[in-house]
Amino acid sequence: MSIQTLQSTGQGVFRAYGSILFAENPWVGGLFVLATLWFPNTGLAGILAAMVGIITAKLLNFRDLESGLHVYNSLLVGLSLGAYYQLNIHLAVLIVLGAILAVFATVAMRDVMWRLGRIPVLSLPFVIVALTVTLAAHSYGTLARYLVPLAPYTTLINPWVDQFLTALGSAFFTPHPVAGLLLFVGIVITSRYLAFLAISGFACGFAAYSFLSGSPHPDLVAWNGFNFILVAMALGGIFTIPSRQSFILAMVGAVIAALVTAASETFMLVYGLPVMALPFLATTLIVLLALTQRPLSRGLQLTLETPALPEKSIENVRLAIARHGEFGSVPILPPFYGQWDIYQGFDGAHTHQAPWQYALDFYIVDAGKSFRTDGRILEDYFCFGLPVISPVAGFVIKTLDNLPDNRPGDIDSENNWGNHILIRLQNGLYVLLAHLKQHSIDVDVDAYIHPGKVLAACGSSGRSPQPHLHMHVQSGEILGSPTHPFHLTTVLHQTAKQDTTQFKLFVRPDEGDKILMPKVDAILAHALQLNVGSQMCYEVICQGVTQTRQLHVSLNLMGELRLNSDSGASAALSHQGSLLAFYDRNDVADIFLDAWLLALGLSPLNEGDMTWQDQPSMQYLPMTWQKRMISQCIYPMGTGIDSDYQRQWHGQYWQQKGTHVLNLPWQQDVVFQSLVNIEPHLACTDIQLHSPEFTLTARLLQLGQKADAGIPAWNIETSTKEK
Amino acid sequence: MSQSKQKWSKPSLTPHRMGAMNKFGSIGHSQHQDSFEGAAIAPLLKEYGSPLFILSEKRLRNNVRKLLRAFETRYPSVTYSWSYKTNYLGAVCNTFHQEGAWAEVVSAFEYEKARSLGVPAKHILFNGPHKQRFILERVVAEGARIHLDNLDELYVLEDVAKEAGKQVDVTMRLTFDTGYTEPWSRFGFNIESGQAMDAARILGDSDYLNLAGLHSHLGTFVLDPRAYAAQIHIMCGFMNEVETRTGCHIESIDIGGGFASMNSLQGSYLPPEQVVPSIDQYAEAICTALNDATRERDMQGKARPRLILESGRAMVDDAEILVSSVVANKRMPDGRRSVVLDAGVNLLFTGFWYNHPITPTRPLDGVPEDTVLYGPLCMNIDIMRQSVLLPPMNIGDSLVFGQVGAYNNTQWMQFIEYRPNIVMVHEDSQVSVVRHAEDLQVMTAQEVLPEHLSGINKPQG
Repeated sequence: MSIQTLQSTGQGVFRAYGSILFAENPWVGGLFVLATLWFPNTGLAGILAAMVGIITAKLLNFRDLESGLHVYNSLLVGLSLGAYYQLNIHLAVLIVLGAILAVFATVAMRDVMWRLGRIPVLSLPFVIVALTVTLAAHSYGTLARYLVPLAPYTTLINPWVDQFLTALGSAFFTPHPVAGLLLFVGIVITSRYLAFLAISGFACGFAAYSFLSGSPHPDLVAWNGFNFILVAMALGGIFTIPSRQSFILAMVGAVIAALVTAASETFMLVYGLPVMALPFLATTLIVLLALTQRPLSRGLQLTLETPALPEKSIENVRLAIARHGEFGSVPILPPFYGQWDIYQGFDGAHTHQAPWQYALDFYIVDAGKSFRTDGRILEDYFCFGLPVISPVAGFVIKTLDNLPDNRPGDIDSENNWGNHILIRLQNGLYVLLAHLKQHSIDVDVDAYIHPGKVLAACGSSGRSPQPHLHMHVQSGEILGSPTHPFHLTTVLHQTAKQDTTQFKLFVRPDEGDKILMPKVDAILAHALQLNVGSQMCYEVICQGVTQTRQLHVSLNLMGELRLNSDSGASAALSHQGSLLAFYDRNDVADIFLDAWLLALGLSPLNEGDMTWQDQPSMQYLPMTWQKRMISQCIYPMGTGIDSDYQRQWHGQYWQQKGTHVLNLPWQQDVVFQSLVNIEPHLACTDIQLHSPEFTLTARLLQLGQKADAGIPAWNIETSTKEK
Repeated sequence: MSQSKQKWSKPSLTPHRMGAMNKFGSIGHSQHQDSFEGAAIAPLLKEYGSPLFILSEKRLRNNVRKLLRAFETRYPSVTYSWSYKTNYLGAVCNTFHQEGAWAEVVSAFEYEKARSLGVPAKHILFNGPHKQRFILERVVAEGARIHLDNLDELYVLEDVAKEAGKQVDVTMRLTFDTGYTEPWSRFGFNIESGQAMDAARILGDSDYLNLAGLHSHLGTFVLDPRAYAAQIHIMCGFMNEVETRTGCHIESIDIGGGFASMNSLQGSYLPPEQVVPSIDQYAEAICTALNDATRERDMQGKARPRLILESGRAMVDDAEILVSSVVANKRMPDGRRSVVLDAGVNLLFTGFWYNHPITPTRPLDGVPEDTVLYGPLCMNIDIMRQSVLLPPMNIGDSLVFGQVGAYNNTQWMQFIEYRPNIVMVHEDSQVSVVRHAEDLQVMTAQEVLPEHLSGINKPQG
């Protein structure tokens, strides 16, 4: 085995240890290994099992080796055996067999569980394999019992804390306060919020457990109390987005786990089996499986598809809410060209009532009238006959266009929706465009359409007293199925009261508002185009220190474009027709990349002078350490900063300015100004970020393209430009 | 019971005559117009003198909004560019610019004027057959879009770009026959003869010029929207061909102007209400054709080209009136009545081609009679209208010439008379002068008298 393989194997083992308590960092895993070695018999058994697990997974070429997922169930099997039997050659054979079985069980069950309800497998394979192996061990006379010396020991901190730490330690079958302390330190390093959940979960679970059983046997709490901790961490921190609701869920889960623990003890003792993680698994999996059956709502949000540490998921969610407004709302483009008015909004008084409350009606008004001359014929109405374009990508499911258009004032109550087009979206929902003009539909059923395709003309068929366009998102294929929340995105919005238009990523216009499809500035969009392999070289002066820095764009296997800096820091980016947006900044510190993200984080690519807002994470601000400490205390879960942007054309280039404010108490607000100059046919030539204590300026030196097979690299110097 | 006295009106002779040319021909004389967009005309005449041009800011804004609404609700990328030569009064231009209009200029003067009004260079289209090298140098440095008219200009521009060390995006002006209008073949490169493709190839090979836009202009007062549909199809066909052959990327299609206003071309049989298409009808024809012609591009994920409109007349004609007063009445030898006005073709240059609607500013009593309207110039051709049915008028009565916004404030002549005040009625009905009447000082400001000619007496010795 080469050194590299050894290193990656070691890292895999460490990760496996870490992932039992949801830590990703291998060094934290290393800390956990140390903790298990408090009882060398248990610790060594665990390491043996982990090694066997990783080798098995490697030999069989299972995917996702580096995640440690396959291994941690093997590891737990090893730890559990090491906790009850003395490590000798006989036990070693049993551990090897158990570890191999655990790998198979993990791979198989993981797939089944995912298909079952998109729920994680967690340590379920371990419990099943460990129970099997323990039952088998009962009949193996060659094994020697080993009992972890639980008591007596001198009090480490105080009895209550010790009890918590011991219980935590038993997650690794090392029920000792010192081991527990090491584990707790690992959790604190990983996530303060998880540590908080661990303590509160234990408190709730332990309280319920004691309350119901009178005076529980301390050994039982020591061995099984970790179930309360794990349930609270999993439900409140990993598989849901941290919120008040998810915290309550976590605590309720811990209390239920206390009940399940008591039940399991009674049942398992009959067979002489340890309870292990069974209560944790039963509680967590049942709760999660049940929660997947809920419709989308504003409250509790699951993160089963992308479980992450609570701090990270709340940062992602904060950005998502700042930009997309609401979970589950379907983003939709305007179904027309130019500027239209809202005839009726959501929950409109006329016809937008449950279950059709999520719907928009559009028409065009000028000086309070929707028609020219006297409005007696359809052609007088401004919107009549105007093109209706596809607001989404999807398949055309149904069309009807042979109903006549009503004379102004008449309605056809027989055919409520009139002429219409029903489009199926990729997410399984449907978009309905209704009241279209007779014989105007220019698309076939089953055709795949893209946003912007002209579909039909605005008409006045169905229940339509004057020409208008009705649009809603519905949950079924049948006309008039209940509607689903949606919002308009990348539009210019003008409310009935205000005179100014604002660029919005999330808007649900009210009656009387105006919606304008913005025009994309092709030259600006081209200047901000970040293609795969693009590279930029900047001269960066940060606090008086000059450096030459490189940025390049890569495409990962998920199809995600990322902007990478030479320090290893990176952020994902999306460059769609009318918008450049950055998100998912990784954890590597890099002030220059942060300055770039602050200056350009969200940039609409539209014509004209514009203003807009964003809420990037406070982590991007290069604050002084004092301010950083204060902000960490005020916002332990991080927060979004208020960024106001404006962009203007300056004769030769666009200048995009941002003001970024982090609100802190006692007039300690942190304010940064960002500025970027964008030159046509080139790129971002100058970037600045400054506050009273901080200055960073960057100037583009070189712009280029990485080589690809058959395509030579190129570079152009831009450093001669001075401004 | 009292009996009111019958009103006295001037006697007139009415020869027996066949009815008017058609049933719409003789209405109009019964109407009068005593205010313009909320401003009473009589006090304005009193304050600013006669003759007087009156502009309406509201109409200017409404016209361009109507145009943009018609096109922007039918096509995703529309830009309106104000044709300076139609009316380059600063107040008019800036009203349009405030509504988002770019500037279309055709000379160094117009370019400099647009820049001085604050229009960013990238929002200026520099068109026309005469562009001196000095102005090309400025335009290249500032980054406005140049519309190439001929090969010689192409070579000069290439040289200018080379000296500036810049790659310059250019638009090529095209000429071709749509079958609907008389082709304006003197401007731009001809498609049918292959000249346009040759020029595009030269641009494709050039290191300094990129072909990025196409432009053509059908003519003026185009009454058939189908002409524009034909124009779009020919231009898009050329766009696809030129992109394939030279590898350029066309980002804009400029269809010029030519939309008719509610004016009446001399010799047209039907009144404008009947023949002039609405802006929506033009937009429907143009955008349908353009959406059709660019469907393939859209499917390939290429952006649809920006549609540029340069309509001048239709945006400004009805936003300005000329008020002129009666100086004298005369009976012509052939028996026709004639009236001498204080405004002539020096102010209303377009009166040579158009029959502007003429309305008195007060209800006129009496029998309408065929009348000739003469201007104040001491020239035989100074005829404001050969024939109009008007009741008799008194000296000091005034007439409104409607639909005068296009080309008059740019083509008017300083000839014999001072040019009068131009006022603008704003949206709040306030009135301000946007161009002062000329006086002797203005008229002689540019003159230089050589020393020996500085007096009327010949210097001694």
